[in-house]
Amino acid sequence: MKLALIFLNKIEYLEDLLSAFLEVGISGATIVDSVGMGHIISQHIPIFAGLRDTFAGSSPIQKIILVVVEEEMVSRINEILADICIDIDESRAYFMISLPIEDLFGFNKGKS
Amino acid sequence: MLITDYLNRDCIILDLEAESKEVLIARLADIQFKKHPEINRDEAMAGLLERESILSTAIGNGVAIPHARLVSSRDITVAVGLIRGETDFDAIDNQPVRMIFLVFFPKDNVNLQLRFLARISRLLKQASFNEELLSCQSPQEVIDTFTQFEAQHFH
Repeated sequence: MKLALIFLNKIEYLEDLLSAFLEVGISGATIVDSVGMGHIISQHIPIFAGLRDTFAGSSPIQKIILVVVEEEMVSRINEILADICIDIDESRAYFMISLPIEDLFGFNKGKS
Repeated sequence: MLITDYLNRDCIILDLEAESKEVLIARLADIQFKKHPEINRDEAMAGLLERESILSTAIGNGVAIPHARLVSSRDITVAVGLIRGETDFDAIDNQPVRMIFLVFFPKDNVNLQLRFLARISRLLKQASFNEELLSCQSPQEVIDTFTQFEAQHFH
């Protein structure tokens, strides 16, 4: 089993991503609102206010999607993300990491 | 990164008169123009004023760090001014300013700017550091104070 963490900077893709999850049988995930460091420092730390233009493209709200999946599903999720975030120039649209799960309690594998 | 590496005795003034924000910025910028003739004066002044228009660089505790990123700047350059008295700099804590660090950064290196501003603003949040700086009697003492604190707090 793996824990996939998808850091979605372009939240307009969230709906498509979750729909695609359902299509491949992923029916459970946890979605967390998050804010990127660039946004925080340029908007909330006065000395870095001059970098607001530099970070202008970063959304104030991003999403982190945490999903527990079988190992082979990780590459499938990566394919889904590549399909959805089709604009190749939007290289900062998302990134994903996956981590091995050593122990798992309270999770019904049959429902994922 | 060490702030000390970017300090130069020729660009440190210990007895700035307490004039307006604009005059003080121009005074410290002039020192940089003399020491670093490659810096374009018009670009630099426009950059400094534009940055101040976004939000005052007087970050509190009597410290201001006016700065700009310039095409004509090849490396970080710093001018330090300790003010005789106090001046209004539109500080975020509404307190007068007593120390000014005017900095130019190369336009194409955001990371350098981030690292420098992070380091110097963290140093200048230490009251003991600020007190020592304000008691300096020579430009070399200012550099020595930075050297000492950076060695103590940043390895």
